[in-house]
Amino acid sequence: MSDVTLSTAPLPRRAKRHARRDLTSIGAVAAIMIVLVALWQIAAAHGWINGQLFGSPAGIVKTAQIALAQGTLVPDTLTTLYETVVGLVIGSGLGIGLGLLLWFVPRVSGVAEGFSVLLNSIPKIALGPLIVIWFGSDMTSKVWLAAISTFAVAMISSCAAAREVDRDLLNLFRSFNARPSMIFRKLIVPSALPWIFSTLRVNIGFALIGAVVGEYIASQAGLGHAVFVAGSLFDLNTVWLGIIVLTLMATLLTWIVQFAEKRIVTWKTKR
Amino acid sequence: MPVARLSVTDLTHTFEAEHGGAVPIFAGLDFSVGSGEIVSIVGRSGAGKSTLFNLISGLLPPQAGRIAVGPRADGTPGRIAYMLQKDLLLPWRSVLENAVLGIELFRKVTAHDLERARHMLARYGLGAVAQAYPHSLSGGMRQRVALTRTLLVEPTLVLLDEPFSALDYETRLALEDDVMALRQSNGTSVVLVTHDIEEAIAMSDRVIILGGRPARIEQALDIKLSVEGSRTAISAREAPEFRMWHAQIWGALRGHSTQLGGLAA
Amino acid sequence: MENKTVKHLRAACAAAFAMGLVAHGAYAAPPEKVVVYQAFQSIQYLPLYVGIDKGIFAKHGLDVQKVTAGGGAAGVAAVIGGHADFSLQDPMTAILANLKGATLVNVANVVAGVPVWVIAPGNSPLKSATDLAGKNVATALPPTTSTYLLQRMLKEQNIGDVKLNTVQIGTELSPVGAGRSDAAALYEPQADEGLAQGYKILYAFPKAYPGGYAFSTIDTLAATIKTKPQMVSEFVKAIGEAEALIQSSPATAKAVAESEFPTLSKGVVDSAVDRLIGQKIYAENPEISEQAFRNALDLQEFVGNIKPGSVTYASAVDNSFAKAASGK
Repeated sequence: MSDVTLSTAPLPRRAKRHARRDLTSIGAVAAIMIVLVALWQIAAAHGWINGQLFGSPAGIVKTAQIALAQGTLVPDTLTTLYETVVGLVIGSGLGIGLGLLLWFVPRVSGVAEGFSVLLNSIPKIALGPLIVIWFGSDMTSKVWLAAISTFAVAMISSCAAAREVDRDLLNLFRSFNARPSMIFRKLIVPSALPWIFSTLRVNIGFALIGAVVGEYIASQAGLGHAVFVAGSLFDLNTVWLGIIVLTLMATLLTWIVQFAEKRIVTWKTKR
Repeated sequence: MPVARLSVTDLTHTFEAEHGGAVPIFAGLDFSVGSGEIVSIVGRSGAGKSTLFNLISGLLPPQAGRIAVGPRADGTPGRIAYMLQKDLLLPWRSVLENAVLGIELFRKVTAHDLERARHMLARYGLGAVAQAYPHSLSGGMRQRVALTRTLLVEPTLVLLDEPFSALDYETRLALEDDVMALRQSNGTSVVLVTHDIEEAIAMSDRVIILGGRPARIEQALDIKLSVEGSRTAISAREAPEFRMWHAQIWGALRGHSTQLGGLAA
Repeated sequence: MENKTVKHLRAACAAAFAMGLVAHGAYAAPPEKVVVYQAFQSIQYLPLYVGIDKGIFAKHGLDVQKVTAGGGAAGVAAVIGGHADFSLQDPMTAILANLKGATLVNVANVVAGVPVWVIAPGNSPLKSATDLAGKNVATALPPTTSTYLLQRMLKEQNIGDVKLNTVQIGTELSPVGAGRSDAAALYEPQADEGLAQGYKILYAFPKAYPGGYAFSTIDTLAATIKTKPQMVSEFVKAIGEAEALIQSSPATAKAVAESEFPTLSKGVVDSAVDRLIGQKIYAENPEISEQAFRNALDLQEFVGNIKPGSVTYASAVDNSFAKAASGK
């Protein structure tokens, strides 16, 4: 019997076409960005817009050089990065763990989910001043804000992912007399992984917002702190620099999660 | 008289309708399946085939009556394993890992188990893809992996719910041969729930026609086909009696339907 | 036929009626709408509130709407963007904007002294500023004048190893209460709130700065001065009157303060107003002297936000309106 019709045979050609399409779109985006930045610099240099009130690309580069030389840019970046990552890990970790474990107690999960929907409805930003008063103005409060911002979403979606497991698969496991702990380990957790990764990608943004807003409210260091102070001093080049570095940070974190996703969730193929 | 692999005695089950009424599905159903026997259960849609499947597989406890799984020849308890139209393979596990899933869920997988698994996969032509993942296999190959998984737990009776209807004709015939070969190699009994009358006739020793409300066994036909040597999917369909059996079963189902038609409002 | 008396009477009535119409027409001009952005709702800004609540601005034909910006920079930005006619905050914020190309001019002084105190709990072992060495002081997030003053004071007095716990302005007492900080540098009414709880003053910044201190002023766009000089003049006059009223009638000042800060206890509000009047924090007249300006500029140059020599008094201050207001 040799009906070995592996549907992967045409994939190399399809993959190449997809890769080419991705490259062209990246290239197009890059080209548009370069044109916009060039126009901005020209406008600032010729005085069509006030280069000091709006900031200018050349000014941003100079500001970056000064910040690096003064040794503030790297520590600020690392501070915000630490707050975001630790907050993300704690918040998402707790949320995912709790959300999945609720599968064992379906009656409680309804109540727990109600609470987390409530928690999610609270604008975390509004909790900011409270968190700062409770935890002080150093990194701890930002980590907590980032964690709170990610917890509810992580818990709700992993709870849903655990419940969405195919009924027939569950029945199959039960027909083999599998204990609940086995079903959890071998069925629920692996099938929830794709959902968990997509939630993680979304939570990167939330964690970053939590950390930066915490820094706006009260902080001694960090990119949000730098942006806040610079804004008050009308130093817009530093504000832009902060925005750019924050964007790069978010992009880097997203790439890392996507990379991990590709390695771990190997069974999701794009058709 | 050899002990039956499966005996269904006085099975009674009702279905809770939305508006509170209890609709009786079975009222005192009796039948049994012997060792090495292949029995098909056919009936019109809604006759209760799926419910019977769930009751026999143990997924649904009967409200009254008994469903007993007979012991093996050596006295140890028998076991039912089932296959659905969906292959239910875990996408994050390789073919080999999927095959041993049934074993893994009730005890530790040994090297001997893996050896048996590889052997059986090879028998079904899947030796080369043991390390591949389900998404890279065709539908027919995936159902064969499911069959391997089902057989590796050494069931005394295999319960099938239209497992081949989603496959192309050629693959379906090949898999019918695989199932029929089971009784030769292991003496495994098979209960096949199906819509496909041709498949039922080709594969079965007995065809049970389910009908009425509550459902009961309208007819139980012993299928005798004149073929050279042991039956195959193709040779069965070419047997002279094939058309006759088909007409009889088809007539029984349609006759039943005109009866219902008369009663329908 | 009418006799002469009736004719005269009729003419007189007509004339009076006509004059009444004219007079009515002059006073029927609606008050001019003016928007003022204040950095915070602050008891230090009492002259503005007295001007509004006591109808002084209305008397000068101005309908003043006050908006709390949430920070000095936001207020200045509102003036630059045209959403506000005036803003009230640290004049140095307007200077910083000017260094980036804006054209703001400071026209009236409101807070003419330094309303910053360093306080510690009553049972604290700290007695004076020098005891702050090695301790933790809660102070407002920079850029803010209280923190800059604290930093300069610590440097000038060589008090080393002081950790600054920067928090949102107005919440400086919280870390001290929670035990995370040993002392706090703060404005009113927090100073008197602390004192009411038994806190003691370790260091008081409102020493007499010769010539005053341009701590918080009213600024506007140079363009506004050009196009609406009458409006600016009336505004500054009204401010001057409000400032004079505070000095002459502290009771009125306290009443306005109590209504503007209803969530604070009356005792704290009254003590704060007394202290701000007694320490000559509230400007007695709206003039911004060159010395007052220089005192404020020195601090920014010390901190490094402004390079020495980049700002002149003449470019940043237009004292003519304040002088005219005081001249009355």
